[in-house]
Amino acid sequence: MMFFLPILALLAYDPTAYPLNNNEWSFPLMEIIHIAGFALSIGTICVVDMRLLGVGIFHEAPSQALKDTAMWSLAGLLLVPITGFAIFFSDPVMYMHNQSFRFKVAVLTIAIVYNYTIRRWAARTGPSGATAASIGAAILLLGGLALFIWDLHGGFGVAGVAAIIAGGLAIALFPSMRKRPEGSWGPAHALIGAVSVLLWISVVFGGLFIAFV
Amino acid sequence: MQIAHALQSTDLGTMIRESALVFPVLLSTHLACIAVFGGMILATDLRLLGWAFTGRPLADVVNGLKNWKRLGFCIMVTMGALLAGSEAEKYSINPFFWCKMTTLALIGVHAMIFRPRVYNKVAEFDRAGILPGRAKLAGALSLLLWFSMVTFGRLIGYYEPKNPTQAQSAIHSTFTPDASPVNAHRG
Repeated sequence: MMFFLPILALLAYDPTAYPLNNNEWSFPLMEIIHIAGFALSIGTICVVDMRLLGVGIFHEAPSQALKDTAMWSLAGLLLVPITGFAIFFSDPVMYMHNQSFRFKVAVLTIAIVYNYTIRRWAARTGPSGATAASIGAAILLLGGLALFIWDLHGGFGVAGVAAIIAGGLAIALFPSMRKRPEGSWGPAHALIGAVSVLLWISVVFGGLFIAFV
Repeated sequence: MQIAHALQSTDLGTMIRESALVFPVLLSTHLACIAVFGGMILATDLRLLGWAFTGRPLADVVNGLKNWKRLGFCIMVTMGALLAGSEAEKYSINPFFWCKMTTLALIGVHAMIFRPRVYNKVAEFDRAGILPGRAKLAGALSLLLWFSMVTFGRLIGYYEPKNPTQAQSAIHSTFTPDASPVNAHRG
């Protein structure tokens, strides 16, 4: 994140001229949309995750739940970074030095990669998406390792450990998942759903702790 | 104000307020519940409006999520009560807090009105194959009320008392003594 600093200096970025810092209501409004985006995305993602956990929210296959929620999850996930960037540029230096912010950004990226590769594959039936899941697991393992080495005692490092665990667990589950019959459900699905829920809750905790770190 | 003072002066209130970790953890859990279970409320509302999950029977969505929403609501309210109790003096003078409480009461009224008329009759609607106007109204009002709840909840952090006596009280109960009014609520 620190590579942003010289870029901002080069652009002669002045946060005091930023619209969000010059209007009493614009910052809270942006935060409300940011939180609503999170509620929309995490809520609809968790509907599928809970189905993967086998708690049976719908009497339908996880693939159908995924199909029903995909558009709403994507809408929420688009709102989050758009409003997030707007909030970030209100005080970029503070955010870049905040360990909780670093953790949130890293774990959000990890959760999105996990969501659209490994979890998507687990929710769908049949062999489709296996390659994407393998690539996702590799990205999480290597990316997590890089984050861990880069920022051993900081927010990126903690998120890196989460990525290594998520990627490693997915790889460990691949053999049993590959053998699954069409439309089946098992403990491997539940584990993948549980990791997804934990990742998204970590994003919320990371975001909230920004104010306290 | 005396009640608020007595409430936040209890051992539990003091412990939550003065702990560096308990307050943020409770607040994060409160927000995580809003995200996870609020999303389920949203899913139900969207189905009632006929905007999503239209391939699924209404009863599947409404009844399937009912118990999870209740569990989430209980956790959310418990966390909220602990948070509000620990800083009762500060919250008692905050108009956004009272707006949030009013919205919460309206959510209760919404449930009392629409549970017998809509939520308990979803299987009948499925059998009839129609989505009546009152079901759509229940979904729209629920969406509006929950969005207002999130909005007022977030705005609580941005209220600055103008009266010096109120300000004094609020300063005493600020959860992070060195946090600036702006940065203390950023997330």
